Amino acid sequence: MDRMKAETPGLPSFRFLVVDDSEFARRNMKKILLSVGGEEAGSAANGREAIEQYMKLKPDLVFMDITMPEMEGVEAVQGIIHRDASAKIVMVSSNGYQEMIKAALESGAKHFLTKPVEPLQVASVVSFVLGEV
Amino acid sequence: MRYDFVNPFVSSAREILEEVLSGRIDAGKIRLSPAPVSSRGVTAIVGVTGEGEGRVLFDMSRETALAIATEMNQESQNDLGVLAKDTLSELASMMTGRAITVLNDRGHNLRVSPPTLIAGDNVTISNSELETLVVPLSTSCGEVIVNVAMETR
Repeated sequence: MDRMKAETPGLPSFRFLVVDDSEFARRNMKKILLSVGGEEAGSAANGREAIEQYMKLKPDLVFMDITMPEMEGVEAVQGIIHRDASAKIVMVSSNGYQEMIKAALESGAKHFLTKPVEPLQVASVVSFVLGEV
Repeated sequence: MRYDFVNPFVSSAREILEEVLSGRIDAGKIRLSPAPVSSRGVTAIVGVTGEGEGRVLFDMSRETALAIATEMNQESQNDLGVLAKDTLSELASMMTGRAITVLNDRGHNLRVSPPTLIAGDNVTISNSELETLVVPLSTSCGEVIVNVAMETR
């Protein structure tokens, strides 16, 4: 089965920003988001770049890694939410323990995905966060 | 050796490999091995701190590393360039991340460092006097050796 293909009837169009220090993770998430009907707004490799890119591009959705150099994901979420309280951010991390999820959601993230991410799971989260369900 | 900490690292590695690669993952015979560890060609090293202290190695041949990077990217990786190395580091991060998720949700307090990737012939890793538990995982891309050394702090 092609892992990148997901059947996603009814998903609204959306522009996304992918934030991850891993090139592989950025590429993989981008492929999945394009496959579910998203349009790439941009990408960033750390939290500081993420805030700059968010303010410049104003994407509909942000997919944010947690562990990154310079500025980590949770701090970047707080920075973005401080500037735009309506920002829709999904945390994506290899570490999915309760304490980590709690910190992410308390920082203002709308949802939490653990790696490896799957297209159908991403489509479901996109639909939920954009308020279509 | 904290054997209760070791099993989640092995089972998480197996689960993640099953999710990102096609085909069945079979675990081989577990053995204890003294340090140092001789690399087969490519080794991802992840440090563990907190309640337990130690390190986890994922060791494989260069051919296996390239086959895994190719499958995970769904495009050919012919050399250990930035993307291939980054892919293998991310794989190591996912395998250890799931393990500490399991352990921390059981009430433990562990943290893992970002992976360090070492590639080269005749590399020996001898950073520890810890007893090491070794489990070979057989994948469609070749063998990945999971090597865990963990003690209570």
